Amino acid sequence: MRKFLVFMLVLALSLAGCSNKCDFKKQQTPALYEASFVESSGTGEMMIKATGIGCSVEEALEEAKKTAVWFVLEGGDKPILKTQAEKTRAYGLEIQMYADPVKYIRWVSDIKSKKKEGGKTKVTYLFKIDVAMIQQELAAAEIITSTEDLGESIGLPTISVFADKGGDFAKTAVSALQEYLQDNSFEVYKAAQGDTVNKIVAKMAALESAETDPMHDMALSFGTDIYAKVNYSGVNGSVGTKASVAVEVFETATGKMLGTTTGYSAERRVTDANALVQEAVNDASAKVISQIRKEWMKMSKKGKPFKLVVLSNSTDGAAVSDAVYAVLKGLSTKPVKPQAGGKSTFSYIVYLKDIPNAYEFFMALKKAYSGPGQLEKVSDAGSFLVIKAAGNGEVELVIE
Amino acid sequence: MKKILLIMVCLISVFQLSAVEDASLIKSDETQKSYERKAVMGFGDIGFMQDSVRIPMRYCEINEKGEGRCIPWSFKINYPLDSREKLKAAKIFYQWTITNRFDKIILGDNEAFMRTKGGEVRIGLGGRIPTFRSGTSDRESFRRHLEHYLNSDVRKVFGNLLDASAEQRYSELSEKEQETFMVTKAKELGLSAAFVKNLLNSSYVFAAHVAPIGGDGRVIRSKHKSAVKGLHYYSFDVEIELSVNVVFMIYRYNYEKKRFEHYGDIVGHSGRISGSTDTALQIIPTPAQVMSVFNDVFRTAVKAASVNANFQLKQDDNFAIFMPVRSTDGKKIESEFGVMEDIRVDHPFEIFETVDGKTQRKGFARASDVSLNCKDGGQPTIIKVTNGDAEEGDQLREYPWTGLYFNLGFETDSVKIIGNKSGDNAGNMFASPGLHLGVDVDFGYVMNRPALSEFYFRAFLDLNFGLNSDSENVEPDLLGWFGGGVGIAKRFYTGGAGFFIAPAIDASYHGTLNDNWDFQRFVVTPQLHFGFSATPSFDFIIKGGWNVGFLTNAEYEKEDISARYSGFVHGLYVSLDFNFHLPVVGAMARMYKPASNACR
Repeated sequence: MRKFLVFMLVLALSLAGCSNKCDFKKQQTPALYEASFVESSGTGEMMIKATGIGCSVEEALEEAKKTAVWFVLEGGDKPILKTQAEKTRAYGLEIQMYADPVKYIRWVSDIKSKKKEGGKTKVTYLFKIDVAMIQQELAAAEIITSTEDLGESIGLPTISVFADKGGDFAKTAVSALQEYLQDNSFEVYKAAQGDTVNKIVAKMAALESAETDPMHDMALSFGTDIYAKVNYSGVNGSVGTKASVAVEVFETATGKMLGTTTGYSAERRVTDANALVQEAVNDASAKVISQIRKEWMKMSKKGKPFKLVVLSNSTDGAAVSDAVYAVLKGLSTKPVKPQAGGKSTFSYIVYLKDIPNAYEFFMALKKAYSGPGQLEKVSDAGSFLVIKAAGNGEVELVIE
Repeated sequence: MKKILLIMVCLISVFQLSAVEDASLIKSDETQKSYERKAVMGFGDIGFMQDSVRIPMRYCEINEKGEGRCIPWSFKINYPLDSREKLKAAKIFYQWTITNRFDKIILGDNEAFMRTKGGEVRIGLGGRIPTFRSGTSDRESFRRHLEHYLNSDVRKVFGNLLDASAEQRYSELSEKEQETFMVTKAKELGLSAAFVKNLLNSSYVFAAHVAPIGGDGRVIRSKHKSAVKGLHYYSFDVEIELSVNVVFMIYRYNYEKKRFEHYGDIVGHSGRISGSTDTALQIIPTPAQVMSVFNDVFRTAVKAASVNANFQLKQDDNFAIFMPVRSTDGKKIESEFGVMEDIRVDHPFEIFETVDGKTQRKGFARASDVSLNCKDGGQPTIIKVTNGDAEEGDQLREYPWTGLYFNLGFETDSVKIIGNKSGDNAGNMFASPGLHLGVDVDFGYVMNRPALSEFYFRAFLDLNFGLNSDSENVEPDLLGWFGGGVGIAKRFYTGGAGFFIAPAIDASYHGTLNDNWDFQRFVVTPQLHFGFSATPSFDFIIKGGWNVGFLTNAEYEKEDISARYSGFVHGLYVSLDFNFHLPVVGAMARMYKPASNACR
């Protein structure tokens, strides 16, 4: 009898060992990294579709929440943690976030998919993640630079947004993007009807004899640090219309493209495509803001570009140019780029660290200047400075 | 040896577990699909291959022994299939085949009936839509005629509207925009907006064509002997048998090709339906009385064919109810679907999940409390898991079912006939092996009554043989018993493995088949069933009970010997039963009650 009982016990244990028992060890980090961006549902929220795995639906749901938070932190094409250094610094805080992902989740959908694979349950849900809260916590832990911190170092960039192609829908997109930028503490310049390119910018554009972008000239006139061009296009599909909004972001001083992003709406039937435009801007805005922040942070570390225009006359022009160039070489963190030059008018691109605006740039320039005459400020706006200097006679603005 | 045994057990387990390995995964959205209310269009003018149903009648004379002969009778059933009769039949077809989970438009002769979840309205078409005339033709001619009608007459009137709705992506418009669109289009056509709305949402078009109806009719004169006065007298009865087979041709509008295209056919079978007069007549029946029986049988046959067609329709995923499991404790599932989707009491469901890329069935469940889901704040439908378990994200699919089983049982149905003197007993208390055949019906489902949930009614015929071993005064003999009865059982499912227990009671009447012995008995059999429902289509039941009753007749060699017995009979009843689902309901169609109208 005793032998029989031992045999039964061994048999039962063997069967248990051979059975399809779910073996899942919960880890601090997500068990799966299957997630995708769905939409920006607001300026501080993102909807993420995330998959989790576990021995039960409940366990898999908890994992899916961790995956959703991971995606916002490190996944996709616009993660909050952009560099390896940031990821390394954030490790401890990330683990804390994974331990309590519910804190950052504002909404959970019904289950979107459920499958069993290898004895484990895989489930997919949609989550709305409070991205702003995650950013705040990372900034508070000095892992990323907060928008406010960014503003304290070199000031937040001023941005102008222009409608390029797409008619009235592009204008709707411009308004929507402006709102997003303002919500993110950026200073946005709203162009009014009748705004024109100022005379000096127009003359400089002609002097530089390059194919000029009228929006770049307008941005220079406004004195914004960055400008964005918005294009709208709508495509009629099998279900309805799909809107796409392409946003190109440029540094105003240099005209260098900082990034380009396209946002899409879902394909749906609507009587007014403006609703789709808004949806497409929602999709693009987070990427645009991410790109601007990234570039502006670089500038705060390596120097902000300024465009300087010097007006003189044919008598003193060469001497003024030499003196200004010498001062710029002393101030700039990078080589000074002369852009255009004549006998009386010159322009430069210069990268300056710890100088937040054109006025302070002028003050530094004036202090170090030792050329003919006195430096006088003609205009300063954003990263665009126009000065004049001449020992004798009047200043000329001549297109030669 | 032990090691070898253990290794074998492990290997067998591993092989079993690896049997479903498949890397290909189905689309994730399909694991969570849910039924969406559809609208369908049908035609009131059903296609028949004859302009009337003609059934010859025979006149039969039956003597006291049940013997007799038949001759042709002068009266023949001639049931004209005019448009009024066709519309009546169409209503039955569409009521039972396309239940109230669909919004329906039945186009009739210059009028239409629109039945939605809110009720039924009649709409005058004022000649705006040409009437469909089915004529009397064979199935393929009817099909060609139908396709021509759909792609010319209907398309001519509604084609632009259908195309416009496709272009406008009507279903994607907001509710307000839908209304505006509908009202505008309805005004153009001079029809009500609600009618046009349903018409445009009609994903499918149904047309019915009935195969030739054959049947048999008899007027029976039976001879009886009065037990009181010993005089002979006659009674008359009418018996009619017929079957109806109807083909539902289903069409769908192809928005790409801008034409109606054949989707599929389903063939509804009524089975052989018989009917007779409720009570025997004293005089030869009049033609009106014969037609009354015919009408009842014809309507029952149409209903039976429709119930069968509905069973087949539910096998198509496009017409079946699907729902993802949202709220469950593993054994009880809550669902938002209810009477508006024709969920009936005891409605069976299959539970599916996706395992390694394959959809696998993991159990069965049955609706116990069906929601009146038209009411705000209505309670959810409660679906109880009977086999397996359920968890959030599993998929429920309704199981095509009629609630009717063919029953086959192997039994010992014993009775001991108690004698007045010791040793004068007859029969056998424990051993009378035999078998029974019958039907089991889930009353709750068929009658759609919550109070009758899991009550199974059964009717049966049985045959068994028992050695007359308890009698000392007569030669041991083999008593053959033949009889029939009815019974009722109430099932209680235990756990989630498909097992159930059911207290039950049968009442039956049997007589011996022997030449010398003529015993007749009436017994009731209280019993307990232990069953296993492998699927809603197959049950396996062990029944145990005790027959208790009395002797109604006892003769030996035609001599009345009832004085030798007390009249009390009793004995063991044990049976091993198998229930097989019946998709063709036949005459049982009379019992079926329609879907709940609580939401109308």
